[in-house]
Amino acid sequence: MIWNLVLESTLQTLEMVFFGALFSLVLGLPVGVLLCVTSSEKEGGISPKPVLNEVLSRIVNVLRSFPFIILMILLFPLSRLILGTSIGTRAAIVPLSIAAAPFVARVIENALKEVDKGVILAARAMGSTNRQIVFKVLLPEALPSLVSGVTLTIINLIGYSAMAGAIGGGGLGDLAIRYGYQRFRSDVMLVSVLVIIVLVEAVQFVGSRISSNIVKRR
Amino acid sequence: MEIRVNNVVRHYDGVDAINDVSLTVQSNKIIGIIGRSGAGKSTLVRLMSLLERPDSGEVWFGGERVDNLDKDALTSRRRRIGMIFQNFNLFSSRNAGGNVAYPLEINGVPKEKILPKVRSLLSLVGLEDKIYAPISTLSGGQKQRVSIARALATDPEILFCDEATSALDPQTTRSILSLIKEVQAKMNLTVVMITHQMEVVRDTCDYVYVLEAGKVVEHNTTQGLFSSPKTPLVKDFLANLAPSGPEGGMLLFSGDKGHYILRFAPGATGKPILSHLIKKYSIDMNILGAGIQTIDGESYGTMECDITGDPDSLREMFEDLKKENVKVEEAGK
Repeated sequence: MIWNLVLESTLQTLEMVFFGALFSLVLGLPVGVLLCVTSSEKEGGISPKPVLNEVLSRIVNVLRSFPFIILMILLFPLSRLILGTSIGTRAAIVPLSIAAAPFVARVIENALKEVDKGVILAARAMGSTNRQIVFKVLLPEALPSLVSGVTLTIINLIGYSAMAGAIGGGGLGDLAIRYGYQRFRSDVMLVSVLVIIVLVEAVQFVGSRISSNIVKRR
Repeated sequence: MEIRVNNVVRHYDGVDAINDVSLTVQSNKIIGIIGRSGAGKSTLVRLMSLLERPDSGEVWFGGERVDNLDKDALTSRRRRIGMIFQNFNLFSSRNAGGNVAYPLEINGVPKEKILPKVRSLLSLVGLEDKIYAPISTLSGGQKQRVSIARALATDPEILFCDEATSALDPQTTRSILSLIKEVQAKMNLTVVMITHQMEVVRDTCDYVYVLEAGKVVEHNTTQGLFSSPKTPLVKDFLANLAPSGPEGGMLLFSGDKGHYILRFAPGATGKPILSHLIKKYSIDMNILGAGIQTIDGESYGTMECDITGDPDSLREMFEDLKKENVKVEEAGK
């Protein structure tokens, strides 16, 4: 029975992490690109817009400083609006995505800012439009760091998803609390934690592998 | 295409500014802009290549004023300019062929026309076999060749070279310079070379502007600059010029090589040893070439000469030379 529970919880965790990563990337990628593009020329911005940059940056900071558990509760109405419910694994995906999106934005901003300024200058000298610089230069050049950033995001999401039990989201963290802690089943606690560790290790391994393979081919 | 710069001024926070520079680049010529680091060369080339706008003054390409173009016109004008850089600035996310293809892609050249064009450009720079090579596998010289191919992809009329050989060793520099000369002639390019190396000016440029503290302090044909330098800056540049040709600093008085090579160790270069020995031994000497290289403040001399006289005198003279720290070699031995 315990293995069924573990399997079920693992699948819930994977569902939350997968969709959380997907939607946070969808939300965070454009913001990250905007943060880089609108930054000052010194920082590598290709179209400096100080006001927009400042506003975006503040929003990202505010969102990032929310404790996840509070954010989840605050986002109940949004989950209800989107999915019709604020309870369950699916509902947890909404706050997970929104909590991870500002993190993704920063990770992507930093990865793009690492791109050699000389290469951007060359692209500009050849008459690239800003859109061409973003899609044909910045993103491809930063790909290895972007992959590392996404890996980091997924690992963070595994951690966040463990808290999703608080809104009935299920998952391994929930299993550990409800069975392992509240019912004194230290075996369940141990297994849930082990599965989480294995997940994190696997994600890190695959992420590093992909990133270094891209670097090797260059 | 003729380039004219009229009274251009560009100020930053005090650094690397350009202060009222005017110059003319004749069509289909290679001109040099030389100066020390911080003289404003890079700023000037960015103004000329439309990467920055001057605070005041004008830049003209042929009959078109280009310093005040709007965003779209600027982008399309830049597409007809080639530019290469000291650090090559190639895209690491693309292989050599992909780099050359980039300007074609952003210009909307149809896919099926890109590959043949890339091949012909890479063969122009002698790298046709490197089309799929990742950038990190190329040597510095090969990288600069790829960047030249990339710069020429859109058949520009103007090529800007911003310290294009400063990161390369002397042999590679020579080969890149001759490639630039070759493509200049082939494609009727107007070339502007920014450099701090007088060797680059000597080996490639028709005309040269000397920049100091954001101003043009001297300009002349390359021959004129070398034969009658006016400012202390240029004289200093010329004094520190690395020798050209394979003789490594030898001033050759004749096409023939001497029978003997004398090598003067430090300390031996300051004394009239030869003149002394010639008087002592009644021998004849014909000096064919000589030069001095300074290493760490010490002077090392080399001389090629013929020495004739009776064998005993010669032997005694060579003994004396040895005592004076002059090594005698017979040529070819």
